[in-house]
Parts: sequence; C-alpha cells; structure tokens
Amino acid sequence: MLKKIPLLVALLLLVGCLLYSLIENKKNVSLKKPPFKVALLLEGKKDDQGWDNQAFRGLQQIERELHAQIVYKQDINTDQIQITETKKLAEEGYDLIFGNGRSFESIFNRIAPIYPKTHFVFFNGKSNIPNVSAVNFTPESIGYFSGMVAGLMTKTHKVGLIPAYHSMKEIEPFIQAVKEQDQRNQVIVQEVNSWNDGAAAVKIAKSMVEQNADVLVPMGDGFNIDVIMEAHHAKRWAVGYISDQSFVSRGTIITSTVQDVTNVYLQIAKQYKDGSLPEGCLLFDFKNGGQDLAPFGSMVPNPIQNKIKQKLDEYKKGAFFLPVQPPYLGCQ
Amino acid sequence: MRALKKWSNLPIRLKFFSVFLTLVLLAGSGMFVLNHQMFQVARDNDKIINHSVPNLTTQLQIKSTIMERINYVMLYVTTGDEELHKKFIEASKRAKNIEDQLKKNALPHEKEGIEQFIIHSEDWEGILSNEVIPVYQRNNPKDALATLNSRAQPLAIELMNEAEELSQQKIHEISSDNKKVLNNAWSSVQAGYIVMGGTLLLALLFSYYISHSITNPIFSLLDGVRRMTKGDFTTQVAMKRQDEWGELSKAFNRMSQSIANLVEELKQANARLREESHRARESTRLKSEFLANMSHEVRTPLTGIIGFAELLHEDAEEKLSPVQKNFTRNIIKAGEHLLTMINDILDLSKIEAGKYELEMSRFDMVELVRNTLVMMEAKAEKQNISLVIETKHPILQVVADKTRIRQILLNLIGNAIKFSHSHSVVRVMIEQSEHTVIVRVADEGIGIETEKWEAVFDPFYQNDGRLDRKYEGTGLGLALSRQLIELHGGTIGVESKLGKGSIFSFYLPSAMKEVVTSHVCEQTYKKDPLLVLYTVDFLDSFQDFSEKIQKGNRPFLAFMIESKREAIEIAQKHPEYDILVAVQSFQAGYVDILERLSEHTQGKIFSYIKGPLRFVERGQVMRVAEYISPSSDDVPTIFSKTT
Repeated sequence: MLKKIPLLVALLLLVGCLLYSLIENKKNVSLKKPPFKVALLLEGKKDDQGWDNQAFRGLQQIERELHAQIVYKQDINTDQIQITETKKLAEEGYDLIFGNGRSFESIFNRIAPIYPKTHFVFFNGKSNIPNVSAVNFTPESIGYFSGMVAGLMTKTHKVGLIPAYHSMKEIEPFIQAVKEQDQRNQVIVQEVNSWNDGAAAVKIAKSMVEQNADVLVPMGDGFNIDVIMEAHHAKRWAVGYISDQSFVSRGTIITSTVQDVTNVYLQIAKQYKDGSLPEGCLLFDFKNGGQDLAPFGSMVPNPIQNKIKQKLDEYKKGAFFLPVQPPYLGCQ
Repeated sequence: MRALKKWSNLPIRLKFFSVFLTLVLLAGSGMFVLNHQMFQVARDNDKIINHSVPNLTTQLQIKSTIMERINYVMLYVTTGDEELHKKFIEASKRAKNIEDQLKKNALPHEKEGIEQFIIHSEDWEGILSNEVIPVYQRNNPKDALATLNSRAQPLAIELMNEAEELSQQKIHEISSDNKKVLNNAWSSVQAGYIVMGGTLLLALLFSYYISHSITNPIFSLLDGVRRMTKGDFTTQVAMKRQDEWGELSKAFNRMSQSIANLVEELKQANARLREESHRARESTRLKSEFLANMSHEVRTPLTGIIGFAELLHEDAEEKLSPVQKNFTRNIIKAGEHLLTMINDILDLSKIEAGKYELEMSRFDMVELVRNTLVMMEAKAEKQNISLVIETKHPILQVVADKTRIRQILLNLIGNAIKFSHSHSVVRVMIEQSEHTVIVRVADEGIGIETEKWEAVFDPFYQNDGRLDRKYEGTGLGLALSRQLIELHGGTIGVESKLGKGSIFSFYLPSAMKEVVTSHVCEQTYKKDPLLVLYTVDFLDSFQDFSEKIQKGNRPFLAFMIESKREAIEIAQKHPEYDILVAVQSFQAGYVDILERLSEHTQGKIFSYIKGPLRFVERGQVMRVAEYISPSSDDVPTIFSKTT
C-alpha cells in the first residue's frame, strides 16, 4: 500500500495539471463559426455620388450590422470581367454576391447553377434560378413623382428629361405627371443611349437649356451628376436620381428620387442570413420604403412641397394610383 | 467528533496516508490558487503590453490621420493642388490600415466602441471622398466647401473627440490594469503566504496530533512496564482506541495478566523449592555427619588392623612363610588403601558439612613442591620417570593450609606418575601472577578426552571404568583436591591431549594473608561508606539484606544495577569505596562484572550470592573478590569491622 502512495500522488498531480490546462485552453479557444462573406461587384466607382455609392454604403452596413466579411470590386463593366470576378468570388466561398446593376442579369443566371452554395443578387431584371434573386424598383412611380416635382417647379413650362434609354419605364409616367401639373408644360425627352456616357448627356443637357428648359431630369447612373453640374453652371434646376444629390449643388437640386439601395442591401443580407430571402424577383417601391423623395431644396415653396407630399402619401396608402400602372406585379 | 473518533480508530498506516493525502491536496490546492493568480498577473501584463499600449498608440495615430485628411481635403478644395488629393488618398489608406489594426487588437469590451468609431470614420471619409472631392472636381468649389464646412468638419471634430475619448478610456484602462496587476501580484504573494502558512500550520497540527497519538500509548505502555519492573505484575494499561496501539495495549494487559499468574505460580514453586532445599541441605548435613562419624568409627579399628598387620609382616620371630608374609603385605596394602579412602571420604564429608577447617600458614611453595617431589622420587624411579621442577622464583611465599596443599600435590604428582609411560618426565611448574600462584603438574601419559576434563573431578570417577582396570585409585583424590583448592578460594582444572599427556593446574590467591576458615574471616576495612550494588533479581531479597547491613553500623550506598556499564559508572563515581556486589544466584557474567569493577576501584570487592554456590563458581569469584559472604547473617559482622 505504502509503495503505491507516490504513484497515487503523481496521478493526482497529473490529473490536476490536465484539468487546469483544459480549463485554461477552453478559456482561450472560442468556437469560431465560418464568417458570413458578402461581395459586391460595381460597374463604376464606389464614390460615384449615386447608385454605386449607395450600394457600397449598403455593403458597409452589412459589414457593420451583420459583422460580415466583405469585399467590393469596382469597374466591373464588361462581360468578361464580370464572369471572371463572379466565378472567382464564388470559388472563394462568398455566401452572397451582389451585382449592382442590370448588366449582371445574364451573367448571374448563367453562372449561379454552377455554384449552388452561393446566392447571387442583381438589380432590375428577372430570374428563375433557385440561388438567384432579382431586385427591382418600380420605375413608373419614380418617373411619376419626379415628373410631378419638375412640372410644379418649371417656370418656362419646359422640362428636359434625359433618360439612358427610351425604353425606360420611367419616361411615360414622367411626361404625364409633368403635364398634369400645368397644361402648358412641355417635356423635351432625349435619350443618351448609354448608362455612363456623361459627355453625351451634357451635350443633350446643353441643348435642352438652349431650348429654354429650366428643369433638367437625368435618369442614368453614370451621367446624372454631369447633367446636374451642367444645370448648375447654366443656373437651371435639376432633379437628382437614385440618391440625394443635393450636396452636388444645393442651389440646383430641387429634390432627388431616392432608391434606398443601402437599406435594400441590408434587408436582403438579413433575409439571406435568416433563410427568408425569396428566390426570383423582389420588388421595392415607395410603398415598402424601397424608394422615396429626398428633402426638398430651399427653392421649393412650401405649398408645392405639401402638394407633393400629400400625393405621395395618397400613393403609399393606395388612395392614388399611377396613371400608368405597371403591367406586372413583380419583375420587369 | 464522530468522524474524528472513527479516524482515530483507523490503522496507523491509514492515518499517515490520510494525513499525507490531505497535505498533498492542500499543497495542490495552494499551487492551483498560486498558479491561477500568476496566470492572472501574466494575462494582465500581456493585455497591457500587447493590447492596451499598442491600441493606445493606434488611437493616437488615428487622431492624427483625421487631422491630416481633413486638412488635405481643405487645402485641396481651396488650392486645387492634385498632390494634396493624392496625399489624402494615401492618408485614407493609412487610416484604413490603422482602423483595421485597431479593430483587430480591440479587446472584447471595447470592440463595440471601436466599431462605432470606425463606422463614423468611414461615413466621414465617405463624405470627403464622395460628396466633397468629386463636387470640387466638377468645378463646384462652393458646394464642396459648404459640405466640408457644414458636415465634414463638425464630423471630424466629433471623430477626434471620439478618438480622444477612446484614448482617455485606454489610458484610464492601462492605469487601472497596472493597479490591477500590482494588486494581483500582491494578492498572489498574500495568497502564497496564506496557503503556505495554512499548509504548514495544518502539517504542524497533524504532526502534533500524530506524535501525541503515537507517544501517549508508548508512555502509557512504558509506565506499565516500569510498574511491572517494580514488581507490580497485575498492572493494566488503559486504552480506548481500536488501532494497533489499542491492540498492543490489549496484548500487554493479557501478557501482564499471564505474568502475574506465572509469578504467583513461581512464588508457590519457590516456596516449595525452598522447603525442599532446606530438607536437602539437612539431609546432606546428616549424611555428611553420618559419614564423618562412620569414617571415624571405621578408621579406628582399621588403624588397629593395619598396625597389627604391619606387626605380622615385620615377623620379628620369622615364623611366617613367604606366602603368609605376602598375605600380610596385601592386608597392609588393602588397609592403607581403605584408610586413604576413608580419610578422603571423611575430608569430603567435612567439607560438604561445612566443618572442615584449614590451618592457614605462610610457607614457601617452591620448597613445598621440592619436598613433595623428594617424597615421590622412589615411586617415580620404579617406573623410570623423571621428576622436574620448573620455576623462576627461588622462593614463593603463600598463605595456605600447607598440609592440604601438600596432599593436593601428592595426589596430582601421584596421578601423573601413575598415568605416565616409563622414561617420561613429570614436570611441576610454579608461576605467579598479580593475584594468584599457579602450580601446574604436567605428565606425558595417556591423556584424557576433552569431554571428561570436568568429570575427572567428580567423586569416585575413574577414567578407565572397567573392572579389570589397569590403574588403581579410590577416585576421590581429584574430587577432594578440587574441594580443598576451592576452600582456599582457588580453582583447579585440567588440560589434556589424549595420548600426549595432561596438565593439572591449581590457582591459589596470593593475596591471602590472613587465616581463613569457612566460618571466620578477619579482614581490614576502611571507614569509607560501602558501595552496595545489587542486580534486579536480588530486588526481593534486598530489603532484608539492607536491614542486616545496617546492623553493622557501617554507612553504605545502595544501587540497583541493570548492566555492567551501569555498575562501572557507579564505581567510577566512588573510586575509593569498597564494593559489595549482591546477586540472587551465580550467573555467567557475574565474575566479569567483578573483574571490571576491580579495574575501576581502589577499594575492595566483596561478593554476596544468596543461592547455593558450586565450588568451581566459588573459586572463580574468589579470584577477583576479596571475600565471599557465605550468608547474609555474616554481613553485619564482617562489614562493621574497621581498622
């Protein structure tokens, strides 16, 4: 028995040390879950004072609120680059890849089946692939309310609308809204035929100024600032597009039609994380907070502001319907 | 209390094991606490050195980058210098790296604050890069400046305040951590001392308890043993415990009970033996008396027979034929043999009856031996044996009974001649040592087997036991010689080699200067106290003995001795005193004690042995002791005498 005492003591010490080290190790080692990885592909720059900047800020919000591991890529504006970068990100194990524009529609719909573990999101298009979501805003309402603002503010009764393409759904409601405000109002419409061609847009803007248009309304991600600046220099008014662009020229911007892309990004990421993100098309409008009007500039009289706000409220409450109803409920 | 009682009943090894285990556990717990404290100190130190200080530095750096960036932008929108724009971009990259580092190194509790700060910083930088610089670059410095002044600058100030607040928090935290480290270090020291102290205290208490639980039973048993030593064999040890000590105590109690019973039986047996001994002594005395009377009665007519036979043998008128003459010679021879035997028996019986008296006188031993050899010369010549005396002393005075010593010499030399071969030599050697005179008679005869050395001194013993034995003799000579030598206080013995011869030696005390008889002893004594040493077995008799000494009016100091060493130590303390060593019976080692005492005292050694003493034992004692007191009754008479 006495011979076993040293053995027993050694055993006790060993067990004690082991327990202590286990406790210590447990304290030091935390169970790490794999990070939530989100990627953003931008056609332009993140600091474009518009669409891409909004997306970037959305990505930032995802990082801040959901503690996601994020990455963003700028100037992803050709098919080849888009395919390469999308595949690369999917292979790197990103859970959610945003393509901030319609140009990603065909790419994502093509690539998504290869990477079923990654969810792809793009804007302004449609998809029926299980791991792809298409986010859409209602262009008709954007067109209508920006037209209403322009129609109410024009003194020369000439409003210049500069869309990227004639096919844009905003144009028709816009024209109707301008004319609804005053029968004398005219709308000069000329397409840029590009989303990014700033020079062409400026040229058109100049032409419209020459035609005595006192309110310019750009509708294109890549050139709206150019148009606003042209209005600024020509001392005309403009309606900002996509985001509140009053900072570009406080004396120029009457208001901006805002697509709350930042919030949309965050909402999509949250839904993805809790497993409630629907596949296919998602629709955002004034009614569900996806779109709004930015604060009015100081040049907008209160009665006009009130009138617009009232109309907007009616629309949100369903008391007012757009003159041009979207022919669909979901995707374009 | 029940647990303590249960524990105290555990076997001793389990007690030790449990105590050892408890101490190990305590020490282990102490080590755990100390390790924990030390780890805490190390963690706090690590936090300060590897997290807090770098974070503080980073926070200070970020503050400077805020200033840097806002200044670059301000200068850029006012001067339009592209270099400043580039510097802003570089500063932004640096700021991003610093922010990443800050976020990475943030401690859990400061993570939220730092993340908020980074969010604000990013938003602020977003204003600069998205709402100020591009607007300026689009040739609208007014709105760019307006945004800068109205939004970016206030935010920059807020950011700097926020960074300042973080820095202050960090400084406060470092200061607090420093204090905590110091407190923890001090706590570690305190905890260490407390744990060590506690463990030591418990170890001390356990040791105290264990030592008591071990020594108490030992003392209790020792007390029991002492009481038994003093004769209280009925002693019992009280012990309530159930461990090994309890078992030992029970065994001791059983043993003491057995011994008490045994002692009682021994006492009864002793009483019976004493009675038997008394009867035996009385029988011996009566036998010896009878023998003495008978011998005397037989000797008288025998003397007449021999006398008349000698007259016939002389045949004055020459009337006897040769055959008849031979008959008368045989009668004389047989008569003389019978007379010798009767004389020897008479002497032996006298000695045994305690009635034999030595006539002590001073004489020269060398001369006595020479005369004896002359007497034996005729007998020796008959067998062609030479008689030789060997001594370096021309004269050697001794005090003894000369006649008896001569008788002994005749007996020994006669035996030597009788058992020697023709043409051999019988040597008589005389030596002297410090206290004795030694006489050896050596022959070159038939020798004696080793196992018969002692038996030859028994009465009527014949080495050759056959009826038709070659050598004549009564078988009483050596027995009588031994009795006579021992009566002188000496010893006699033999050394022999079969076929080579024998050496008979007797030792006489040379210091005997006075006449000694079995009844009277006159000695010279000092007035110093007598040192009385007695052994444990003499304890029962000591009471009576000491009373008898006291009657002699001589002061004495009495000590009970348990070992030779103890006796020597006492003797060394009183080197001038005479020493009396009293024992119950003669035992091996008694003579050794006397010898060692004689080496350590200047006084005399006396011996008192209560039990019966054989002559050989008496002789051994007498070689060392000045006097052997034959009876306790003689003690006061002897020791009270002074010069």
